[in-house]
Amino acid sequence: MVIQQRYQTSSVTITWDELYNGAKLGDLIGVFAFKRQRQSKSKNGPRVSTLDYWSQALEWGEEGEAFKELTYRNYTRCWTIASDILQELQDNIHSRVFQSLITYIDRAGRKLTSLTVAPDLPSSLVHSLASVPTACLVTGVNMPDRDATFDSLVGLLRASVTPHVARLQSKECSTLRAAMYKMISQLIGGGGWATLEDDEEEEVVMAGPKVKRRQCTMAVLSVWYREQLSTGEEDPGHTKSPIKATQSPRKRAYPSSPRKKPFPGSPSKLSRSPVKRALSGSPSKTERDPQEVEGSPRKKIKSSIISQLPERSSKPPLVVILEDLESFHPRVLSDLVLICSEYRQAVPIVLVFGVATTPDKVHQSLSHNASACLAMEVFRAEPSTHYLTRVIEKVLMSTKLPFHLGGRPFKLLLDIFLYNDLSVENFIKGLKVCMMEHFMGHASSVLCCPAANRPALLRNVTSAQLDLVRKLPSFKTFVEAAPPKEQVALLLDDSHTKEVILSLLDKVDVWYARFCVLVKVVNALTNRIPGAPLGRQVREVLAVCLSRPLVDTEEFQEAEKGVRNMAREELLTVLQNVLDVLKEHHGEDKVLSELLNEVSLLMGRLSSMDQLTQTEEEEEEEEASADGSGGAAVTLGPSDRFRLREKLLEMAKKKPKKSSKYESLRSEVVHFLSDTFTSHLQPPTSQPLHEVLFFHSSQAVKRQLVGLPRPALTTALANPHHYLQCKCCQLEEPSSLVTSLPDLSVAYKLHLECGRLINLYDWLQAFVSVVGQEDEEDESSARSKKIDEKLQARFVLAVSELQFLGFIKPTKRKTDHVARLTWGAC
Amino acid sequence: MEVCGRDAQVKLLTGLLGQEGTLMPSSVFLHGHSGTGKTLVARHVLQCLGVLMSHINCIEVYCPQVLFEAVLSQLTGSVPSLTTGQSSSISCDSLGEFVHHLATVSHTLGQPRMAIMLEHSERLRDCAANILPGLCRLQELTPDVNITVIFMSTLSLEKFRISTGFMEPLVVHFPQYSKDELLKILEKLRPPTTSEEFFKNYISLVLSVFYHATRDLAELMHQVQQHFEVYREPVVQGEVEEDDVRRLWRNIEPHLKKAMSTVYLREVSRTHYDKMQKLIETNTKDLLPSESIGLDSFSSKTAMVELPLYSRYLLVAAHLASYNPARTDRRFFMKHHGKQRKTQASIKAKERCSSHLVGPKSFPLDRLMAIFYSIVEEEITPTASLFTQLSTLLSLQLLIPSGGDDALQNPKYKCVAPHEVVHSVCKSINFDLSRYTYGQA
Repeated sequence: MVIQQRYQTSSVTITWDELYNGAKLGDLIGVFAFKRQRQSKSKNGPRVSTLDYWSQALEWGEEGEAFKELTYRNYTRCWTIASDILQELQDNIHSRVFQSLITYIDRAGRKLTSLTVAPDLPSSLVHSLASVPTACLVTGVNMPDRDATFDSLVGLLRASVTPHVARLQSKECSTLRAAMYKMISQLIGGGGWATLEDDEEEEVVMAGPKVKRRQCTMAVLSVWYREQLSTGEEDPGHTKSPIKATQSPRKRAYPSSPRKKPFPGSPSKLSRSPVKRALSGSPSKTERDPQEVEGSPRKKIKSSIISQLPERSSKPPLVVILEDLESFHPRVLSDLVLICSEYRQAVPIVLVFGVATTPDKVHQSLSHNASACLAMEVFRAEPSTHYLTRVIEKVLMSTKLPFHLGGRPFKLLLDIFLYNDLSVENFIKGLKVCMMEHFMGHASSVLCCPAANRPALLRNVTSAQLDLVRKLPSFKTFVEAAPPKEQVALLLDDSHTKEVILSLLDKVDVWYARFCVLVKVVNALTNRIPGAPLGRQVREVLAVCLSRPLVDTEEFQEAEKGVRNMAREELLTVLQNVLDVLKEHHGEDKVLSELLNEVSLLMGRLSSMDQLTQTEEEEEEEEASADGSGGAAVTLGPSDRFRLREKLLEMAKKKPKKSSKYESLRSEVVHFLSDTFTSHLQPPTSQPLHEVLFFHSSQAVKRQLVGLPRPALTTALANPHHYLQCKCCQLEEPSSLVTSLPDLSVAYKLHLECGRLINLYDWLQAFVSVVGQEDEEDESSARSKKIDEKLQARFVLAVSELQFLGFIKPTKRKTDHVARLTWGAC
Repeated sequence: MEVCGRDAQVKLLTGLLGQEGTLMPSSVFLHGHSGTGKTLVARHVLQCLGVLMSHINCIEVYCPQVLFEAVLSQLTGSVPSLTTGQSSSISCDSLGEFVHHLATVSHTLGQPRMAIMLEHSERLRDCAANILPGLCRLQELTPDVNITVIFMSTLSLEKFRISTGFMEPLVVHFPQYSKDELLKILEKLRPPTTSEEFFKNYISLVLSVFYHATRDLAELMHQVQQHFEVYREPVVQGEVEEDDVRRLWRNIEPHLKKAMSTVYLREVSRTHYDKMQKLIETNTKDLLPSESIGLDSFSSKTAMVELPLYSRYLLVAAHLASYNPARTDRRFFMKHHGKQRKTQASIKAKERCSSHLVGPKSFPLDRLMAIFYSIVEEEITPTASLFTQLSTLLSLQLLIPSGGDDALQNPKYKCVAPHEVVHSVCKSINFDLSRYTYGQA
């Protein structure tokens, strides 16, 4: 709670809950419990936008407003670009596995329904019914990403296979009864989960029959399914009733709607029409509107999956998704499976298990007779590390996005990902925080916008704002390096400065594009070296390059050694990889094209060595044998040890010279490449005006992204003003004691002065003397022996709260004493 | 409908229920393993005798109301509908109401003989206390109704006896099918296109392989169906004559042996199974380490769990904490723990309990964190995300909360992750588990 309050002051869009989605915060115990004022969430009320909270950190008086506007607009632009790319990625990332999953579900559904309709088949066929078709989707442990995955899966299912989808989560299904209710009400009611997504437009769709709790039995479900089928067959014409293909164009207002998730969860939009169709009559035999399908890339992917399926069957199966299989109670799970298999002839149910760890878990939690009822097929979602690689490549290394991450923030985000959660969604949220921090905290971010908008933007920049840019350290060094005449112009002539800035920024853009390609080149060059000193992934190389000049690092020297030891074939394949990367990315960059030419030349020379070396080797061998035989003959005598040694040394010296043709070429390659890296792979801080486009201050975001419960607790107790923001407990010194502090805080500060054991009575005395100060002096002195009962009660409360927070515990060693559990006075 | 190999039971049950017009016993108890034909025989007999029946699976009965309403609607043949707002035309909450309704139903239908078949009736024991005795004595409660209750269960009757109000039902036992009976039953799976002799041979082959592993009819049926295509393949392609059993056997043998490992694990359908086998084969000639890892994780046999780095350490720490005695922590995790003296007693103690045989012990959170900090080499601050990882591990059921009187003050956990998972995690972080494990170090 403490943390959350802090976040409300800094930015609305990111709350603690969102950052640590689904995580239990049991260890973050609220210190002060105050009721927050209820915010009226009526739709008509003014929406709280991010703008209202924008850049309180910077105060420039009148300039401030303009700045606020500008940076905020820049921020929205950047984030829209980024979120567009991300959305596309999110849709693409699982397309392969979803494709096979959906085909499987569709096929299984058809098989099931074909048998459902004709129950009098030969017994051999009936038996193959005995199992419930089950798709086991292994998602990986990253909890926050899972929601998005299932959202898009449900969207796809609704659009392609069946309108009847139910999602079960373990927390809602503690008993069989609850699980059945959840399942059946969603199936009959047409997806209860959809209402939660977006309550503005969904209401119309949600007009499905409401189900009472006591009605939720499988018998009811099977009757409902039969009805559904019969109505579907009766009036297929009904379905062609005009579908509102696009409900009021949804505004893209991510920053202004704090509650909306940035990009996942949007499949509800597409899913809407099928749902409506299903409830208005039958889900069958409808031609999908071609216009509806085209448009955004998201839809294209979906349509590509859908188009590969045969038309939706007239008897769609019911799909039940169990999102977190591990957390389901084993008994509930096996009962559910048994029931489904019992009714498989009446209701064609296809199960989808979301498994985080391994498919073996299914058998661990299912009883044996239940697992014999399943026909399971395993699908694996893309591991989140792959997803991250794509995100880094497409977003952080893209030229479309003007905002870039510096070395340290990138490292921080990467560490959070690899060490703590493996969640791409959290990574993206972190990126968003960085972006906000950049635009809010740095005045120079005024200029950080897509390259096309830059001239227009610069024209409107006032001289005061320009001065801010002039004050940037990197610009200062640039000015100092310039000739004196130029220096004066740069400092005084606004229009000239603007021109220079424009060209400098363009240069940074070009430089960064080249930088990214070269990072990929380095990765292609070094990822197969044994031990992988620079890592096997692009992200590792990127992290190094962003923070330090690559060539000076130990890792690179290590890698260089590795390249120097490569055999010819290895070197050739590695260079081929490098060539591929360059070919793919060189674009119009001159430097890169040159590099490309040079590398292909070198490769040509390497491969043409083929014939050369062979003949040479033969020659060498002859020489060596001639040499060796002669030498050996001479030095065979036992007395001549010294001469033998001499001879051997000589031979050793000769050796490298002889085989040097390939080696010299190899070292030439290495030299050439490391020269290129030296000149072009300097960290961004080497570029003038890098502050405008790069975000470097990881400390600022670290506070937001990495929660530290213990320091938060002690800060709250030692300096309540930090969180409460009230006037009464402002302290000049962190250790000082004021009467107006909360009781808990007073008790805490008093207990810091004690040793290992604390005498409760002394503590009480001290507490009363601090808190009771405000009472009138004479009265208290008159009854000095007796302590006010109210004060005593407050003291007891504070002490027990401290015990609850884990600072003290009762002890039996001494009567009327408690033991401290922390040390020192902090 | 024909019932195979259950003649004795059919005869017995028919005798018990009696011909049309006679009074039926108040309750019958059928028990035997799953897949021994209890339901089949009961249905067969009841149909032959023309008894009105309702068939309930007790797994679904999460409250008695569901049972009552289902029985009533099946007996009356009414269909529950959504629009009336009631699941059946009769709503029925308690045993009393149920008895009342039964009487009226019986009256309206003209006093037919009725039967209630209860599958998985062991679940009824978890229901309200009056349900099981009530059903046992249903005939006593409904004097004018000729009704019988047929309990079916895999448990024997001893497990059902309760102190109050239980009435001993008539017991019919269903023994397992013999091998010959199984053969006869499985022969019915024969697809119409194949000849009898050919299929018979096939079935005896399959039985000879799987009979030792399972006698469950459903499982055997599954296996028979799963492998028939492969068996028939050489015949279809014309390579082998239909009656050349020896060559057919040579063809199918390795395939069946492989399938033995997946008995009961319905992890794979046919196509998927083949795909996986192929993948494992290609896996042997691996190309890149990263690719082969992907393939490894594809074959479900390797228990690879993808976890964040600190979660891996936490898992290892939890494993150590639950398998090492707390008093040995000093020895394993402190730098200067002093020399350990080997006494006779300590050696004996080691012999007495290998901690891995005893199973995981619960440990407090503090101990877990202490071990965690000592096995992670670098310095880490206790961030909130560290603790969220702990709760993630809990939700993945790799750790479970255990006991501990105070969940807030001093929560206790147990590590229940399988050993293979822990070992693979240790491998991925280059952690030498055996060095820190008590009894192995």
